[in-house]
Amino acid sequence: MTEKVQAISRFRLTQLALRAAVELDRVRSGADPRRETLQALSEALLQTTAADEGSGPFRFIDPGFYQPLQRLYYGQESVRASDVEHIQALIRRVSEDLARAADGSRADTEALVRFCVALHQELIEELTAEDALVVHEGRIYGHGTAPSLGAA
Amino acid sequence: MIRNELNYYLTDMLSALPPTLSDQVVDEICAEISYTVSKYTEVLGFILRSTNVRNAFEVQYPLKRLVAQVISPDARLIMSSEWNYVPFTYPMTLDLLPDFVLVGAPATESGNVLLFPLAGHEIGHSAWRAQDLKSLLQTDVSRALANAIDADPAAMVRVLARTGEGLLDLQNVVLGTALKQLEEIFCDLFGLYVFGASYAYAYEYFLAPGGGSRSPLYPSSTERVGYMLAGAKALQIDVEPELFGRWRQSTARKGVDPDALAFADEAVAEVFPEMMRKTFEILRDRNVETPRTEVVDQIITALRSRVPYDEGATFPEIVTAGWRYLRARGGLSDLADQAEYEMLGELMLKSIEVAEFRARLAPDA
Repeated sequence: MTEKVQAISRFRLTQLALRAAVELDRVRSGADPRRETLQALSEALLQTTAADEGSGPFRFIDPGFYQPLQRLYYGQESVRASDVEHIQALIRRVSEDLARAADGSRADTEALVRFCVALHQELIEELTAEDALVVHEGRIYGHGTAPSLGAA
Repeated sequence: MIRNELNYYLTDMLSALPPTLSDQVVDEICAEISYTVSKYTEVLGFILRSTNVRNAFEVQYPLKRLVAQVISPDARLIMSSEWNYVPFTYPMTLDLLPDFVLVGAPATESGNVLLFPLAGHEIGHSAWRAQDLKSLLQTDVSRALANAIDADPAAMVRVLARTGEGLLDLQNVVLGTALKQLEEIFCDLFGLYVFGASYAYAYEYFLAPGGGSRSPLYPSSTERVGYMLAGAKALQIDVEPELFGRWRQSTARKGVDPDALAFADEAVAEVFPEMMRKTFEILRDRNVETPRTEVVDQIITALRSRVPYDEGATFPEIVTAGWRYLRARGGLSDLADQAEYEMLGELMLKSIEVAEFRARLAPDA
């Protein structure tokens, strides 16, 4: 069996978001952009939202990224009603803006910094909440409260 | 590797920061460094405890060979323990240290050979990622999920009314839940394939009588053993029908939407046969052996004679024989049986050592 190309991890995307935020902050202060940092995040973002390739019965985003990206969408667009297409459109738009910024073209650097910071916040929260993988969680005999759909 | 990662933050990143950096970005840097130090501290503690002499070092090499077969020839295994009563691995290391497989046992049981089949489950998590099962299965799961929702429109209306979310949101969240459940089932099938009946015995020993509070990211307690028994049947593993006969059902946690969870459960049930087929196919392609019944029987004969098995056997065969012997002797749980129980552990460890010695001296080693 051949080894498969691994999907981008949440930790990797977290790192890329922070590096891009730092880079964009430099650009905001008048420095020239260093292409590879912004380009890497631009490509990684597209990878996270291109999971279904239209082959399933409904549009979906890589499940590991759906909830943080959904919360990010709510925060960025200040609306509660979202669907996958809207999230994907936002990510595509930001990805294109990042690619433009990487090439030194005109881009809304302020907005991109805000996006990268918000993305980093969402992902770090997800990672911090991640517990060790255990054989069975049934050892907990209490009944912790979980969010409604968030825990399905 | 860990030093390099931390050096990146200390030297490459922090020293290169522009003085004009905004407060919001500084806060994110602090958050990431805090997270990274916290997670690596866990891993460093784990590595430190891996040298504890209470660990069963005899099983290190057999498990490492398994890891090399199913993950990568370069993959490395670290076995250790923690003061939590559950075998575990760290999700973070699956991303950060992909060539390392970390298998943790409860400290109180770190020398108990009989519990090691559960290491198969933890290695399974790395195999799930290495084989990218999530990508392989997610379209199938999305179809099964759509079918489940279509089949019960009243439940769909209920869940959307309760949560105030849209259908696509429901579908995406439940898809993630179902895939996490399938990962856990995959890990059980992985353990079962590699360790045979001893995986089911170790699972039953460790988790009896089932029940407890159900995380939505795991199948229910009884469904899970049902999947395990289906796997055992497909592999023609002889497990006593009464093994999980009194297994208790788990109860869903508060705040988990029951209809949404039911959709996930139905999707999992529909995809399970295909996932089981793929799981066993992957392991066969990797030439992973299942325990041989005739060798297990020979080892049991040696154990009855109070001698280690010295003809060469795999670790899963030895531990399967150990479990079968233990069960035939009624569990050896009386105080008067303690000496025999301890001797069984020693005989298994010595048999593993002898098998390792033989494997290294074999002409094709």
